[in-house]
Amino acid sequence: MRPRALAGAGATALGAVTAIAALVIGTTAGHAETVPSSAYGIAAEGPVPIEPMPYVESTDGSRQENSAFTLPENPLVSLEVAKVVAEEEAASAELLNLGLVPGAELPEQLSSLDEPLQQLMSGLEPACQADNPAAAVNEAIGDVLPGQIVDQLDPEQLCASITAGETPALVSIELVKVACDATSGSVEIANVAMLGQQVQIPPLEEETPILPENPLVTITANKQTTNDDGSFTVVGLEIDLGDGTEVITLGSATCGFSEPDEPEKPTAPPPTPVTTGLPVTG
Amino acid sequence: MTSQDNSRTPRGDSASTRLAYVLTGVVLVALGLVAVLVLSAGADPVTGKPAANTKPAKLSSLVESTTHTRLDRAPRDPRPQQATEGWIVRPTKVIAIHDAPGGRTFGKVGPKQIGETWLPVIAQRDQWTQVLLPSKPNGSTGWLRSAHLKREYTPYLIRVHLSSMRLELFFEGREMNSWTIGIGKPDTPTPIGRTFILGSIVDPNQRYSPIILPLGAHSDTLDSFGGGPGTVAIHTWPTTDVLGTASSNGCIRVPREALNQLTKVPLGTLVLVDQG
Repeated sequence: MRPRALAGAGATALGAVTAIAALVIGTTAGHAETVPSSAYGIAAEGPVPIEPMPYVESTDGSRQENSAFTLPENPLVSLEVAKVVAEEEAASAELLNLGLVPGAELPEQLSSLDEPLQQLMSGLEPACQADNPAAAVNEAIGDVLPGQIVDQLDPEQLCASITAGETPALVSIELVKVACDATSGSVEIANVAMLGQQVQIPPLEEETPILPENPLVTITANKQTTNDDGSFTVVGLEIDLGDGTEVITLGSATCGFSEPDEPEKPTAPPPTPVTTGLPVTG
Repeated sequence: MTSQDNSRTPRGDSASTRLAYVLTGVVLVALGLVAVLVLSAGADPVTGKPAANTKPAKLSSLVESTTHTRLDRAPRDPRPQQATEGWIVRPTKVIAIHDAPGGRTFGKVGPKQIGETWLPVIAQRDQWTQVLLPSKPNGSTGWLRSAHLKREYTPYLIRVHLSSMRLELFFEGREMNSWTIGIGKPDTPTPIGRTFILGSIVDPNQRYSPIILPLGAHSDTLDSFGGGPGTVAIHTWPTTDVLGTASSNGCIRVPREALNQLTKVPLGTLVLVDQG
């Protein structure tokens, strides 16, 4: 059975706030307003930029779909399928079989991050050959990637793959599913593996830190934002490499809204002249 | 004995006992009525505050606000050059005019005067609506209970600039047209301030304009004119040489084309007269 985590209550509460904000905006605007819904599978900002893709937007409320089976060649992220949908007051993004830093090597553009990664990798090899490999491996990982998630890694298994010369992805995820509607947002993530080993992730409350602060990679799940135009964005995973050097967004759904037309003002008709005597000042 | 039997009046009751029951009922009803009257007179049912006048307004004793009357206790227009949102109201029956929300009554206004009564809304507070009034003095306003008003919207606004002798017609905030006009002479000037189109009349006694649009304003210098109360109006004139001159007794003389458009403007539409 897949370990799944659903973000529910927090998203619903924020969604309600969003809906109220939208109502207020509509009232003061005084006319019909449509804010589009949109979604994308992946985007990255930093030395290795990736434009949002596949991207989809619904400006008139009609259902729009897009999908991708490959990504532009890049050393950061791989995936097998990305499907995005946008429609009236709803949007979703679904990503299958994601790999983050699939070769466990950072590209040249991110050389500043290479040090902690190399520290991790170079520290693991001697750790695996130590008298007490488990303690040594945990120490080597803990120096770079602290936190409960990493504690779940099995040192023996990790050493076996390193000895065999395999280079597992830093992080791999089988499914990331993000959705929003008029009042709520949700994030579903299944089968997360780090360095080739499956790890349990905590329940995805809003802004759940899956990997807390560290010099190599921080991962935040279920990030929710109310935008200036009143729309509401849910991001499945935000991956921050090197403390903001490269930020990768995986699965983003933005739900817009349509304000109903302002109730028609009962416009007064032209007057019917009355025949009467009223001396005016002429 | 059944319960049904218990509910019946005993056959043995005397006439005096029945009379006592009836009298007791009458007294109780009368006491209730008195209590209601005291409560309604002592406190405003909307604000809950004690009413300034302890007796309910007697409409029959109040002067109706029309172009022929004067209500000196009417509050002055607080913003005589400000455009409104375009809401206009018509009383659904003859109702009292108050000097403040829940305040003292000083007049009354009904659904009809020249034609239908439509008054521009200049303020709203709780269940009260402040309007411009058609009676003297210029700039008179009053508060009406919103519950007794029909509410509509006029997309038009008329601006009259005396120095440049121009009249501008706006629709939904955009200027549709403007014309050179004739205005009042220096000794009978067109009054400045915020007023409104009070009526649309065909006056069989006048030949200078096919339709006359009386405003809610009056000449400041002529108490009466031609047998009327000195009502200022918009109308045409038989000759065009009056346009661009200050030659009237206070009225605003416009070209025929302007009148054709202005007669389509709903009653209650705001007319802002300034010195510009």
